[in-house]
Amino acid sequence: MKCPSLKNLNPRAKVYAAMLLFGVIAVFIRIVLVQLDRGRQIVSFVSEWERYGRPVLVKEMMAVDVPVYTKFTVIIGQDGSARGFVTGDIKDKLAQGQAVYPNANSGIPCGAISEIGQELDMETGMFPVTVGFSNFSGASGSRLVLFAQTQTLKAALVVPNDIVDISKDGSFLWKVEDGKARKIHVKIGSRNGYGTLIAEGIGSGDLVVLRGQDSLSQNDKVKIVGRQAGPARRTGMGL
Amino acid sequence: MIAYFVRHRITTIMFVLVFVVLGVYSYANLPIEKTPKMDFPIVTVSVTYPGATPLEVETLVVKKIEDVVAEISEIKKIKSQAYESLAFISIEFLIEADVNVKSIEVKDKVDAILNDLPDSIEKPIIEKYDPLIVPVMELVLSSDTLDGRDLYEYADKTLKTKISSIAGVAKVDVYGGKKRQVNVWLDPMLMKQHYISIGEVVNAMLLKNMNIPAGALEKGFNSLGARFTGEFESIDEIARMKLVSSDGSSCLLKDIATIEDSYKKIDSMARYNGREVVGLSINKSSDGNAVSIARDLRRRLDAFRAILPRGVNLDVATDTTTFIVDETHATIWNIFIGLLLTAAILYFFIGRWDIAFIACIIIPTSIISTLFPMWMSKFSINMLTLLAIASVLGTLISNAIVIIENVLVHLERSDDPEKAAIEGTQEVFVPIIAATGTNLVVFMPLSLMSGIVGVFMKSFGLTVVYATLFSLLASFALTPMLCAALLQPKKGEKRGTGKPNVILEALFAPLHWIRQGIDAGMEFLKKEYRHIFDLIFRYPKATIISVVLLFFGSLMLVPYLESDFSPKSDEDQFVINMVLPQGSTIERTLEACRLVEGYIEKIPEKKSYLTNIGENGVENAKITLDLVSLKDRKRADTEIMDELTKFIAAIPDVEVSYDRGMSAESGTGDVAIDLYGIDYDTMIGLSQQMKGLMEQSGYFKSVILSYKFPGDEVRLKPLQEKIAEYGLTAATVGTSFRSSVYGEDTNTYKEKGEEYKINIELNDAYAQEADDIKVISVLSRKGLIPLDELGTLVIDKTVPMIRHRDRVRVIHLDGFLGKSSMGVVSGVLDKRFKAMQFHEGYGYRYVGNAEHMDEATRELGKAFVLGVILTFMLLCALMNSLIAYPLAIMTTVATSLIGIILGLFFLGLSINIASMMGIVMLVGMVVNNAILMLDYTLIKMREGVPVKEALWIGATEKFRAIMMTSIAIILGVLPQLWSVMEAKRAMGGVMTGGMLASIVFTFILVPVVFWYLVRFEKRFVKH
Repeated sequence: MKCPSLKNLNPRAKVYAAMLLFGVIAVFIRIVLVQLDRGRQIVSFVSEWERYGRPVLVKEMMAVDVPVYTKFTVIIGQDGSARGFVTGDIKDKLAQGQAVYPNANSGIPCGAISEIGQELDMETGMFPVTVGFSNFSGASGSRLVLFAQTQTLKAALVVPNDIVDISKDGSFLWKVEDGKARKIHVKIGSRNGYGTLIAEGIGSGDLVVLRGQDSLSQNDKVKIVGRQAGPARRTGMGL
Repeated sequence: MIAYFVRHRITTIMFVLVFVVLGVYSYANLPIEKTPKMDFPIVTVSVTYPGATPLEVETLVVKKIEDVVAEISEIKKIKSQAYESLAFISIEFLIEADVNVKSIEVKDKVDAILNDLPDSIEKPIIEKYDPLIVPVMELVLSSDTLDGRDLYEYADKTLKTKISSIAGVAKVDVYGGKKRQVNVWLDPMLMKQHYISIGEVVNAMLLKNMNIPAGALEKGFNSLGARFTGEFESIDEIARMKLVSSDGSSCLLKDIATIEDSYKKIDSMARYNGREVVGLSINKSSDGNAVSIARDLRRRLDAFRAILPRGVNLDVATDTTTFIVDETHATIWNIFIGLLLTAAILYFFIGRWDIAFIACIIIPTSIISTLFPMWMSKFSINMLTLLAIASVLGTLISNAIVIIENVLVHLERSDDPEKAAIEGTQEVFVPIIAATGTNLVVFMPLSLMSGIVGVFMKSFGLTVVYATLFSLLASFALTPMLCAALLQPKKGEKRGTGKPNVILEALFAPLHWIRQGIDAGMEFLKKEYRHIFDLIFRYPKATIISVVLLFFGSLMLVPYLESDFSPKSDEDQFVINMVLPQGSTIERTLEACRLVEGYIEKIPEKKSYLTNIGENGVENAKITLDLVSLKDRKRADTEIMDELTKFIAAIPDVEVSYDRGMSAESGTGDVAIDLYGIDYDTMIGLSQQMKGLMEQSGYFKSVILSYKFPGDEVRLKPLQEKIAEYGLTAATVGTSFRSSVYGEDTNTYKEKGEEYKINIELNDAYAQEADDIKVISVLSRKGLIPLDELGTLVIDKTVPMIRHRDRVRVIHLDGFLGKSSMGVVSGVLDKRFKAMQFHEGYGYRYVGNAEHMDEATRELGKAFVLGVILTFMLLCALMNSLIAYPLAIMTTVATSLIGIILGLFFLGLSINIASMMGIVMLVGMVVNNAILMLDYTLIKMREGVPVKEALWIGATEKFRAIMMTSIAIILGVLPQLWSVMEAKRAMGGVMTGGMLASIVFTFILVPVVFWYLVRFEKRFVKH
């Protein structure tokens, strides 16, 4: 059967053919639109991270002297001074005239140790300590936990405990280098309330990731959203 | 019977009115709900195991309970989660199971192994679970004058009682704020000084704080009750409790501890519009009416506010019924619009107001009457029943149209309207019964569907059946009677007899023009059809082949359709779910929430927002953001989410997912995957790879993995020899360790009839760091011994929450889509996951919506096949024919699929539960046009007209009726296409596409197929 040419078709057939063609074109246009929609870029967390980097909060490492504290309880007496008892090992770390602090993060001392008993109290089995206050007043009979510096870690690189990933393969930290995340192996010197003392692996000037490490992979592009500075926390029982 | 109805008008009106009155009465009693009420056969077991790690919870609680409940029959799936201190086991039974019986069976099984479970667990809570129950309302209390503890006390002790008294309220949960508690903060240094350990303090308090009934003293006719009352009567009495140390010395509790009438350590928080509040979550009972509860509560809100303490505010934070009521009104409005459009189409086609008036009577009569059996069936007005009514709107009038159209033909031949009404109705009795019958039989399988989907379908299917039956009743009773009463034969022009009303004519002129236009259009189409009719019979084989090609061509478009179980819509609300790393404190979660809240404040479309922290652990938070109504804002909810995503993506360590709409099951991904395997570490690796692939696919806004990077924990590994040397047991050491760090709160303090817990634990200053554990001492036979002498302290990784599915460990992935749909994306992911090469014993399966979709597809597929078979059988029975008549008609079912696919394809709608329901429903509707045409063709054939000629007469004679009924059905569902709900739009798209295809192929394919089949019958089949 010979296919009739377009010219020979009657007008009605031409209209039907045009309608059919229009339908087919519409289907193809729609397919293209569906494909474009499926291929379009969406705003997602991953797309944002790919674009700007994964958000991290960092700390620029600096070798600083880190104080190590111990804590003990005292009861304020009627004369304004406070008395408490400490175990032998704590007593050995305290000294007369040593400043004491009222809470874990205070930088300002509230008084000083005025006396350290050298003889064991027979009732408590502990050593008496007396504290005189210069910058604090409390009701008689009230209790107070005081913090006293027992040691200073000289030129130490200390990071918060929770950012060190300790596993069977070793201890790791994340640091930022050239805008990228690097997982580095570190050697821990000591670990306590003041944080983790890093013996090897990082140096002064390194940007260590404090927050955001959970979502990082090696060489991920990162976006520094904040830098933390300041001394280590004043908590801890001492080495 | 028809003659009786026509001749006894008052009887007929009263007969129909009985159902209308009952319908109106039922409306007042029908509850309004979002979804149909159903008893989900799910029983949950929650066991609190204070201080236990997820691993301990899994081994000592979850596995034991799973093993024992697995013996119960009719279990569909068991899902478990082992959290820190909590085991949660969910047992889903087959839908046929009686949830009350199963609940008792689970309880018996758990009770039987109680002795095998750890001693320190709290009593297991076994309850039926309804995943559809969401709080009806959330109220929030805020204050400038009361602190968090007093505010909580007021909410818990006063307001909660008042709200609970509202009919239908099952329970009121109070959250946020500070729960009153007596705290005993032990100072380890002072304890050492007084030679007392925490164990002694706990025991001393347990032995002191006693209230023991001692029986009764009897003398003669009187008896005197006796009781030992050693319970604490004041906080001071607790502080003055005497403690005796092992060396014989004594001291008071206050000498070694600080005793505070304070509050429980905060582990949950509620904030409304950035302000700390106490929240009250109001839950309805299973038979409660959410809308009436909300209405009652709002009515009494002012009374509650009037008695609030000064400076306290009470606000409605969320109200789920607002959307339900709005959506119900929107659907009712759509039904009204559909009714008007249907009446209008009748006027434009026939040109008579009286006929349009009949439509205006028949449709509401059928709908209102339907409410009566709905009430009797204990249905509610919900999304599905409303969808059923909206979808069936056009079919309700189609029978009446066929009758009216035929009565008009008879009226032209006769002057007696009564006679015309009776004869006209009787003549179309068979096609109407056939059309209605086909509509009804397809719903029988829907009502028989099993599974949870089946329960939902029952209310949809039966509502359609009720409405169709009432429309049949109205068609045979009311329509002929109204035709006889209202229709008068045209007796020439009456215009010349009176004065023409110029204004009226001018007003109605546009309507007249439209009518004329439609008339002209119909004539044009009829004329065109003559050519098409000639063409299809000139090339009958080519016609059939073309339609078959078109059918398969349309199937090729299916991959371009989206596919979802239940599409989500912009419901003026979405939830931001936030997860922080394991080991985060509530303060850290709050810090992240504050950042997001600060940004939300700047969103202009924001109406209010409610923040819940700690609902599922302190690392989790959710912010429910209420937006102004969609019509009052320029941006869709997804655009607002995009804006938020850009902001939240810059907050470190926060994983976020969004739940759109109020129906969403909190935190469940659009694409949910369970990864199973043998070795857990290998599974972790695989799950992280899968997460990466999902993220890289570009379809997901976020992907959340159930496995979390583990945090650190301090472990005390006991040295058994040392413990024995000191005359201790591991249990004593462990309990002291737990009491010191976690606390011990078994003691209670009573005041004004209320009980408050007494919690004993170490002073916070001595319970912050790992090394603080060294100050904890245990009393041994050699005196106080520091804990670190009895074991080794090591820092190790915690085990995050562990999931089980059907007693096997799984890692769950939740993908929240930013584009496309579950069906399409699953296909893409399968290709990507294939490259991962899972080892034997490892694999994954789609769960959540995918499981529901599979179940729905399976059940609706069965219903579709059964519907087709039943329709075919009905057609065979009605026409006493096996081949030509029923087979030719049934071709419309197949060809309607072309329209359905093209409808969904061009309108950008998805295949989902609603569109699949629409497809099944269409089986009964698309055949009606062919029934009308072939019925008349058969009449003509019996009169001796040749087949082709009879087909032409049948097609042209019924051309107008077919167009009218089909267009009425389309117009009835057309408003659904503009609904906010994607599901409704999909249903509208399916119905519109299917009906349009039915019109086209009834005129193009059915005549040719019928002609061939008649020839086949004549040649091969002997009747």
